Amino acid sequence: MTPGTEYALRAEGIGKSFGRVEVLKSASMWGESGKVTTLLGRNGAGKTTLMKIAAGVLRADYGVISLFGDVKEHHSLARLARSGLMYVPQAQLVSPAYRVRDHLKALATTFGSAGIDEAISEMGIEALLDQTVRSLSGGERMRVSLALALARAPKVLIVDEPLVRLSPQNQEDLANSLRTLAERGTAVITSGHDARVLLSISDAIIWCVAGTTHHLGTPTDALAHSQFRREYLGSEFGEI
Amino acid sequence: MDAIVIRVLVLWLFLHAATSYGAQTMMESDLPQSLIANPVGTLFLIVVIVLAVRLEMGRRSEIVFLANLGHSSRKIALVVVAECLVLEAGLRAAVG
Repeated sequence: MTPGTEYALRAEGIGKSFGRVEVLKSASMWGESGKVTTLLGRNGAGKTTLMKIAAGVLRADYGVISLFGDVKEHHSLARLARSGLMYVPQAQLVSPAYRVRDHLKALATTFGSAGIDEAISEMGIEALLDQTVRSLSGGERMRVSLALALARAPKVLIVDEPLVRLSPQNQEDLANSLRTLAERGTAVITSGHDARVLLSISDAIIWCVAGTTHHLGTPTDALAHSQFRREYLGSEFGEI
Repeated sequence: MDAIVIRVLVLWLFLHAATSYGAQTMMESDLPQSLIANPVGTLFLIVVIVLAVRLEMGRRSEIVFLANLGHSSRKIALVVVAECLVLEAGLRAAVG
């Protein structure tokens, strides 16, 4: 963390256990407006749990969450959403029983309809509007979720593993959409295992390992980190 | 939220029909009096509706989406309870 930088979202010293299993111990995560921060780490390292806590979906055992410097003691996703945060979970954001259009209408009712047409066009979901989410593929559902995020233009977007199960082209397109959101001022916090794509769009890398976090800096700094390369990326990972 | 309001209405109608039938069969109570439950029964009915709506929202993956729109579980529960109370008041007024 750089002294003097005002972070959009800060989750610091977060601890969480599920029964006897300590999933997070003093883990930290922060997002800066206009930048993409990516959490990388092996399965079970605690990335999703940390993101859920930062988004108010789970409560931490200890630690502090602050949104634009305002410490949130009992924060829920609903309360954080009213302050400008949006969370796209790993499972899915959209509800299978409703049409894509219904989700956009619900978003427009709450936050206004400015940006919706542009988001539909940018994510290329015109043909999906009258389909129920149930009939969409995983990749299409994620495009719809990101269209909602683009339309919402949140101040902070936490999106968990958005590139999973997508084709390489779709991964690149969606990653570019996250980059676009950041360039419009959103603090984007994401995660995944698609290291090459994520490193290419990120401004900051956080490495989650064994329930704690290491802030590696820029993707260039991360690639220069020998332990990170050895233990996570693997010896065959080249440059980005 | 519109879908939740409709869901509550359907559940309320169904549960009232079921309890009314039960009252007519077991307690030989006639319509329309069989439609009115005692306070404890009404409270129980409202709790069942709140839980059923919550379960259905979880099943349909609606909770996170609605939370992203600023609607907390507490707010939704309050909407459900308020709707049930309005329907109960309306029913009692209609039955007289």
